[in-house]
Amino acid sequence: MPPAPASAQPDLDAAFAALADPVRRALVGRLARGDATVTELAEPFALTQQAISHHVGVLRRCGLVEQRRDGTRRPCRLRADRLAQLSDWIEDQRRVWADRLDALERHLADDGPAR
Amino acid sequence: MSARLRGDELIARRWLAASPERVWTAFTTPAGIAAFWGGAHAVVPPGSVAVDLRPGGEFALDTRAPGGATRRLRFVYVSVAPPRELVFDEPVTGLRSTVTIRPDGDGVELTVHQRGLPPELRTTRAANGLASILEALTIHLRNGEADDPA
Repeated sequence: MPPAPASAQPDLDAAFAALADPVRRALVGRLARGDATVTELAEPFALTQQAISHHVGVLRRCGLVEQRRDGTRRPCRLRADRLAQLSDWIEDQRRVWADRLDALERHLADDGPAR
Repeated sequence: MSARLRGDELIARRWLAASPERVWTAFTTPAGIAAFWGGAHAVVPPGSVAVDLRPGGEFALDTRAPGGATRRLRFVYVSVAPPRELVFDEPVTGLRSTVTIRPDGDGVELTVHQRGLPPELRTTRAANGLASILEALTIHLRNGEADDPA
């Protein structure tokens, strides 16, 4: 899957915005080690389950986490495909900046006096 | 590279044959931004660039892709220290970019850092950091769900 420029993936904005929060980053880190219920996710935090549920909801809405039903449990799972999109985006940013700096070099060469 | 940026994601570094003032002007004036921000694959109409060069001020521009798709990009300046360092945030994503211009020989060394990246993606080689997460995920999935703590 070739990464489209971020400008063509406004949905990625939501994922990055979600990950701008340290609690949600920690939740993602925890889920990378295995699925967990909200109760389990709440254990290491001095936060209520309600607060954790809220954060899980944000991660779910931006597609980073999915929640399934398993009897009475509702374990959360990290969506690896979604994380891979973010990684692709960063690589894409590198290319964008390399491209921009090429253009900047040409601009500086064409325009204005040499130093 | 300045030490306080250590640990952030280095996006690009380039030596440029120009004075710091000229590079600063390219980054902070509508004409300069229009000339290079699109790179080779997008056009930035000069009239679309708005620059309010002060902390808290906005800079915005349109990028027009070859297919004609246009998107407005908005950034907010965090700090403005001519002609050395420019810091701006993209409010939508929370990503912070720091452009550093350092005199080096007959020109400058320009660096672009981005921070606010999730730590899992912030390693020197972001893909490797992600790979370790994915590996942990794969191992977990291979072990099945039976080993979930109840």
